[in-house]
Amino acid sequence: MSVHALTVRVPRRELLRSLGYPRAKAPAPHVLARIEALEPVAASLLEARGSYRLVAREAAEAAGMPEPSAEVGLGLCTIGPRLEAEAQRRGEAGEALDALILDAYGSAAAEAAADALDRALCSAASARGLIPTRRISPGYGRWALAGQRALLAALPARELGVELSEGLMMTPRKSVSFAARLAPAAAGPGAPRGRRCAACTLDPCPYRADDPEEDDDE
Amino acid sequence: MSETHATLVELAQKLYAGDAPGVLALCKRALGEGLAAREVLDAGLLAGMEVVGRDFKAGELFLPEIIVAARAMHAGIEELRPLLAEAASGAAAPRTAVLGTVKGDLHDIGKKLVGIMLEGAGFRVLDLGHDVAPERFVEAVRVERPQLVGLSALLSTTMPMMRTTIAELERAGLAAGTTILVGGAPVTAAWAKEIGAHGFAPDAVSAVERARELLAARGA
Repeated sequence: MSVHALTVRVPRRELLRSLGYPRAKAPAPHVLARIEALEPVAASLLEARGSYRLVAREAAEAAGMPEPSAEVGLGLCTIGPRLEAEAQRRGEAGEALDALILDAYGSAAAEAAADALDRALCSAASARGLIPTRRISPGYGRWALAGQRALLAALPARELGVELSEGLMMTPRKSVSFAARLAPAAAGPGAPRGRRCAACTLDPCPYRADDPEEDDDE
Repeated sequence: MSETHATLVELAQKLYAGDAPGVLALCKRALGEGLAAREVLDAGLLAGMEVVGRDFKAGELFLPEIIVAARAMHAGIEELRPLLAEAASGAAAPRTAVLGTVKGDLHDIGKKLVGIMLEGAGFRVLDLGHDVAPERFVEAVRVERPQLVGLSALLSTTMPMMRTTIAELERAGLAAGTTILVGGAPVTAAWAKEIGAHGFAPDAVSAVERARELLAARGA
């Protein structure tokens, strides 16, 4: 399993979404000015990296993944500790707005890193005639968070610098673990891939779907 | 509109815009114009914050704007606090809130926001940080005797530590003397009731409102 450096770009729209702004709303000028000042700072603190592997059904079952396919793609990525530390430092210094913006930027960056890793997984799977479906993570939907430990054990968490607390929380906090079912490409379109599709460069892809979230927060 | 009234209107506007230096300057100007600290607080700061809260609920303002406004509010209150205390013969000591994210949970930002909002509402806030063991809460409550204790948890796996913390406060005989408010993404009103908390708040703005309601109901 190799560790990949991930190129992460956080669009302004994603940062605003992470801060709670619906698409039709813009921050007040004084908040926007702070966002503009902090974006380059936050970007300079990213150390995004990740790793993925394709495993047999049994490994995914061991992690409690619901309804795994015969082969499954597992992934783990992080944006590293530096941005989180800076957000913490500013929060403790009483710079609450800065802390909030940096934290939100980190959340958006972690998702962007997961999307980038997912694209790499998608390409690797595609070379083997497989197409990943939408990625899912422990703690969401029907996948219990208890599966987190086994999932990370199947990935190079230590090399990535990701640790799991007693309460099954990853540190750095801005880390994403996931799995994606792999379907034979010959099976044709079927499982929608959701919002990742907008960022995915695999084209043509029989599973490409319009992003339903693009217009749902107007 | 009198000049004094204009100052308070401007003060409320500065607060809405999150202009802390402007709020501070206008508090001083209002006092210099002969207004009582209580009037500056009620008709300037609280009036401005009321509009902020209303617009947050209406989806016109968002958390970043709220934080900045709460900071400005805090700056104004600190300016007025000595005069308010003096006018009330020292009886206007601020309420104290002890906050913390429970043991095993490293999330911090949401709880910090609650602290900022409470400070903006005039509370003295003791933030114990994150990953706070029950015994640290017990010790803080024993020493500080806060009117409010806020417990935060962001994970379903750390939520049970809220129950443990409340149980420890009860065991130490401290729970009945304070008001315990819980919050965090997976936390619900039903959970709050189940674990013996006095209340639940879904966000930082609601936390202040809920805290006020609960404290008023208990006469604290």
